[in-house]
Amino acid sequence: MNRRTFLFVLPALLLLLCGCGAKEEEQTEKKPEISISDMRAVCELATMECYYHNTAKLDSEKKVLFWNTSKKLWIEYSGIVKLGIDVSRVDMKVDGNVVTIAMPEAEVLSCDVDETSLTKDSFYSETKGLGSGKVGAEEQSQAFEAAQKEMRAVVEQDEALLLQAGDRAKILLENYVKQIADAAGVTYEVRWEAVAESD
Amino acid sequence: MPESRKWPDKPPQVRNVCAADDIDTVVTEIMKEETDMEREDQTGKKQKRTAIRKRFALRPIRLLLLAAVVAAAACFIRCSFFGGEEEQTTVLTSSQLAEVLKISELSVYKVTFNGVAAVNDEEGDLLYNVAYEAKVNVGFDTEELFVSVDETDAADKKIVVTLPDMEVMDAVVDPGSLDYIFAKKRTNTDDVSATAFPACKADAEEECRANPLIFEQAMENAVHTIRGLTQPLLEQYEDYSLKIVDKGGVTYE
Repeated sequence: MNRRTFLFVLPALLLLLCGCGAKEEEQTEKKPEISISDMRAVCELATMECYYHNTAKLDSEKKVLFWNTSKKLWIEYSGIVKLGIDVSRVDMKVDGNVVTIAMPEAEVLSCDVDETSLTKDSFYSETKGLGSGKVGAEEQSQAFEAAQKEMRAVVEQDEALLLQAGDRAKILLENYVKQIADAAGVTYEVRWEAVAESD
Repeated sequence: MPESRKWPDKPPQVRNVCAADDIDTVVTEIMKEETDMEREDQTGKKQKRTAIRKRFALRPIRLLLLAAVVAAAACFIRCSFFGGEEEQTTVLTSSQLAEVLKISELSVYKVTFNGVAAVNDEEGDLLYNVAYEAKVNVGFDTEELFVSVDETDAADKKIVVTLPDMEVMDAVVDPGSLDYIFAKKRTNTDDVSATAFPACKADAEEECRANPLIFEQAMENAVHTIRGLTQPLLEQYEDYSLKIVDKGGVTYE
């Protein structure tokens, strides 16, 4: 290629590359201070903490020009689910020495990632094909979100586990009633009934 | 000698001429040869001009072809790194119960944080900032709750419930809320979450602990909860009243 041709081609190439351009990255506004979006009183008695072994397999395919490319990400980690009851819905009625406690059913209070289980060995990735891009933060967030949702769904369907959590809540409430009774020098008989599910 | 002026293969015939009519013939022949030479010269020039015209005609075509190749290359680069067809993503997950622990945590206050955690390397240089949303639960362990009776005044016996200090029970970071700004693109690795999650949790807990109002509100709500659970048990016993205190001896009415 002689100098004249080169001088013609180079600006054309630069214009084409600049004109196509990368997608402009949206700049997330970095807040200098932490922002509290919600503060509220709650009354949740967590009675069981369950550790789950979770795996998330993300598979992403994309066509670049005429060929297929793929990205794979596997994550292995521990998830933590806390089960318990909403104490604000507990209703206590005393009739003589009989205490009737209406208690709601146990439910999932929180789903968390056990960060102590996350190490470099928890992540496996692979990319195939020219132009596939690399596996990064976005894929990891997607995989974690899906895995946490699945974990919550599994727990919510585990009636035996929820019953166990409810039974433990009964034990804790009964122990508290017994402590008060012992301090007052009285004896209480505790009876249980379920709270009607609210709409 | 220039090509156009190249002598023909056969040199001109030189003959001995004696008569006048022979001289005319020779002159005619010489003139004819000169005309032929001129004709050949012009033909050569014409060919040369044609060759030059062809060369100049080809040059724009070559340039256009080159520009087309460059455009195709640029298109490829754009599609590879900045575009291409939409990604099709599937995520398969599995969860298996590994361990169950019995706990007795009463959360009385929940705070939702939107924060930004900074992650640095060992030398203190910034690797990335990560924005997150977290829910922090504040409360106490019910096994640390202590019930006693104060009968110093026989006419006014008190059931004393001593509440432990309010503390951060857990900080749950929403994995889908993580948003990163990397100081250098190469820090966007396939295991960046391993450092991001702990950083976000620690940041949320630290911010919560730095706000005493949260713990004051939590204590107030704990008092309301205990009163709600205890009052019905003591209503029929007029001898006893309820007193709720914290570990420091402060009474909550």
